[in-house]
Amino acid sequence: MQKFFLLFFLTQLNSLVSAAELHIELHTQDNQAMPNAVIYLTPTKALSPSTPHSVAIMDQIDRQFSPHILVVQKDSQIRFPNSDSIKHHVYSFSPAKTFELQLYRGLDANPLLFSKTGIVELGCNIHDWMLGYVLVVDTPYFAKTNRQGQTQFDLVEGEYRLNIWHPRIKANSKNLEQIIVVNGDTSLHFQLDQALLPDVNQYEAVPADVNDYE
Amino acid sequence: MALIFLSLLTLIVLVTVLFVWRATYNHSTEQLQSHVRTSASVVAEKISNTASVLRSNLIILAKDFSIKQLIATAADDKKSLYSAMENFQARSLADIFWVLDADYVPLVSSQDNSVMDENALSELRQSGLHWYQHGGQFYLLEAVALKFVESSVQNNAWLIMGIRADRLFDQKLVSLTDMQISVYHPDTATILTSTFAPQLATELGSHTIVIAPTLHELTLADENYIYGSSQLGRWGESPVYTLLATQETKAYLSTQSLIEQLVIILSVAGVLALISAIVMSRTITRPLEDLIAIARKISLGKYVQQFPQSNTKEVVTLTAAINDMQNGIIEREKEINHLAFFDELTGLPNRIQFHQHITRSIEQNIAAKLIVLTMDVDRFKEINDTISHEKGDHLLQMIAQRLKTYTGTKAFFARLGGDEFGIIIEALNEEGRKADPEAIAQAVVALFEQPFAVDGLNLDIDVSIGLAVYPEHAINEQGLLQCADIAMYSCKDQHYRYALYQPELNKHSVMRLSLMSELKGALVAGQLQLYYQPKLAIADNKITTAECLIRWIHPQHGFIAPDDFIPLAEQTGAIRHVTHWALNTACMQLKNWQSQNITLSLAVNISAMDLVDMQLPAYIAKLLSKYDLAADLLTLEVTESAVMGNPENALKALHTLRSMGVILSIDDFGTGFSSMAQLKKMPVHELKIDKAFVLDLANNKDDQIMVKTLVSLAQNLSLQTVAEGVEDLATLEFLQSINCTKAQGYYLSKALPAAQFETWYHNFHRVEA
Repeated sequence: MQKFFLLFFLTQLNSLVSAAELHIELHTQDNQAMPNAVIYLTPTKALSPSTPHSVAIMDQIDRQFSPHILVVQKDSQIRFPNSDSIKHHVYSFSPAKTFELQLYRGLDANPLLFSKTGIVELGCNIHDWMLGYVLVVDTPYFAKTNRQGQTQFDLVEGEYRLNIWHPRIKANSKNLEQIIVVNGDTSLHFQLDQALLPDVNQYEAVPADVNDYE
Repeated sequence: MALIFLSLLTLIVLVTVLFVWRATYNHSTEQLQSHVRTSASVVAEKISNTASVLRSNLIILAKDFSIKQLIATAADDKKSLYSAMENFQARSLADIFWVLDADYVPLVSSQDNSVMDENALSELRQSGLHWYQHGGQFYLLEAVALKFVESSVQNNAWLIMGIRADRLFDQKLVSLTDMQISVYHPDTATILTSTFAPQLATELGSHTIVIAPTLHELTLADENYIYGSSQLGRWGESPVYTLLATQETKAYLSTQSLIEQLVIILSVAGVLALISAIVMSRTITRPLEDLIAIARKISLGKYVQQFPQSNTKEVVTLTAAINDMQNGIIEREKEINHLAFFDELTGLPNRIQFHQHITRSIEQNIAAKLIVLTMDVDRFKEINDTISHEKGDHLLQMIAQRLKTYTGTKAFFARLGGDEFGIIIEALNEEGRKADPEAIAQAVVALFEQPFAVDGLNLDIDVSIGLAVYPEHAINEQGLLQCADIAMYSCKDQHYRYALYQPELNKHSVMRLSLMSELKGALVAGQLQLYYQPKLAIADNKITTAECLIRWIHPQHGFIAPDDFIPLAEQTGAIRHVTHWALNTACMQLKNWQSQNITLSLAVNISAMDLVDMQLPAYIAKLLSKYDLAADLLTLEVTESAVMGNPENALKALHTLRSMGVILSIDDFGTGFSSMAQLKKMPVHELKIDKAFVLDLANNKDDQIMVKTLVSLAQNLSLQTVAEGVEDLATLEFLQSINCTKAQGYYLSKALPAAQFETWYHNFHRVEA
């Protein structure tokens, strides 16, 4: 993972003339830090196509998807290993990727290619409580907010379409998609205008200092 | 009595029935309410269970991976989804289904052209039961969200399934609740479904249905129903109610049968009570009524022999008490009767009974002859005074005994009071009719021939008896007694032992009685006058004296002779007033004549009673002094019998008068039975020879001898003589020849009023002179 990000980072540095640091802070409607929200930035100008190389992992640990939310760039491969001692039957009826991995164990399942952008909702046919998301985005610039609802990007200055997503953020909330211009180091602060959807299985109750993406 | 009892009983029955009916009605109503509540719960439970089962099935279905797959691929293959849903609908015993996608667009449905909008769905998603109308049918719907991933926050599809309402409310539920169940939507006044027969259900829909916690009534096909309501889910946003109805007759069946039984029981009790009342009435009330009737009879004086028989102790006691009371009354009545109708002294019936006996005898024997005697003991007062009242009473008792010894025709004796007795002879038979009243009177008189021995004294008793005969003399008791009394008094006057009533007696006596009552008034009114008859002093041929004679000129009867009222006035005592009046008038006249130089003395008649009354001398003295007259101008003429009645007092009075200088004369001399000894004692100045000897003196030798003897006797006793009834000259000459002092009579003049007398007087003296 670190390797992937490091590589990615270096690539950006190399390709851009001037880089800027974008700092984003996200708060909920009731002014709490909003962790684990996916923020992704899509340059408005076409980018040189870049294909992800590595295979993303959506593990199943203790009868839960891990991570709960996985963000990948379009055309990424995702492997669904099974770290539990029991079988799982992972599936998705989401239009972005409909698939079914019938009862398997360990690394029996082959990685799957996610070639459409969108949200892929993952479930296990034999464990109703299991829920996971794969967000397929058409940009390399994406991150999840930490416990303080913060995240930061090193970007080439320019215009971006900024998207905020989280399964608990209502789709009709304002400013989930907006155009920003990054010119020099920038700090942006967003506050949600609507309450979050209920936290069904407390997927967010992750340890305080763990950041899946770091 | 029985009627009151019956009404009271009816009232009690009615009140009881009313109260019981109300209580049981209320109880039944409560039970019915409770039944409705329970039934509503049962119905709600059953429907909820059905809905719940359907929902559970839907939830399971929503989690079915195959269904999820079919829905996810529905865009390409609706038929498979429809088929699967059909299969599941059959499994769930449902009648209708929809599958909607996340945007509520129907994917598949059992119904063609079915539209299930978002609002309807959002209603369905709320808890509770939901009713839905589709294609003219009502359904109980359940909707469940389907999520491709169960734990997702997002719904991916909707599964909706419904059961036809009429299938839910079947006869099983009716028999379970014992009620007819209908589902009603008040907002649209729609009957969603009903267990009633279709036409009744339709009729029910046309009624105004009251949704309230209490029970209500309505009529379906002429039958009364009681119904209650209870909410059961909703249709859209408005509530739907179950109506639980039962026939009123069925609901209150127990009440009615209870009331019927109660009425029967009370009726029987009433009849029994009535019977006992009648029995009671027979044993107590009726005898009591009989006793009341008896008591009334007793109060009217009718005595009762027959008392009602009864076995009731109280009645028997009361009967005995009333019997005792009646006996007591009879006893006392007898005593009172005796006291009232018998004379205590003699034991003879009294006057009251005597009267009644006459009345009864007349009433009972209207054709019979009845002789009534009243009997008076002569001089009883004197006897009583002489021998004491005690002995007088004894004598009366003995007289009563003596009367009882009468053996003639059947007689009834009574003491009428004092010395008066009454006898009734009932001449009933033919023999009796012939009975001679005088013979009977003689027989009674004969009873008194023997003297009575009272305490060693032998008393000769004379009686006066008056007789009256029914129906000859009077036809009633009062008349008979009056007649007998009149007869009795007449015989007393005439000194007969008995007298039979004669109508003349009555006439006379009635007038006499009436005159007596008028006499006093007549004195005051000046109806009485003094007439003056001259007395000739024969030797001098001069009028020296006149006799005052009383004349009563009655305004109705005209002239009334002194003989008609003086004796009566003597009997009644009125004579005193008459005498006083006469004396006063005479003195006034004397004074008057003195002033006219008419020198006369006047003679006034004095009765026996006046002599006995010792006031007479004092009265005369008063008069003499009042008119300033010499005493010898007044002559008092006294009859022999007047002196004989009470010689002691009479003589005393006469002596007093003589000492006063008043001239005293013995009137009617020769008719009495005065003894010579008596005459010698009399302090009189003259004898007045009765006219009986004088009237025929001129012709009758015997009278001549008698008068000559009397005059000679008087001369020997130094008494002057007056002859009255001188009616001719021969008589006067004879009287002159034998030296009679004075003459009085029609030959000289009849009695004249004062004025005429004066004329006559002057005339006489002028002629003589």
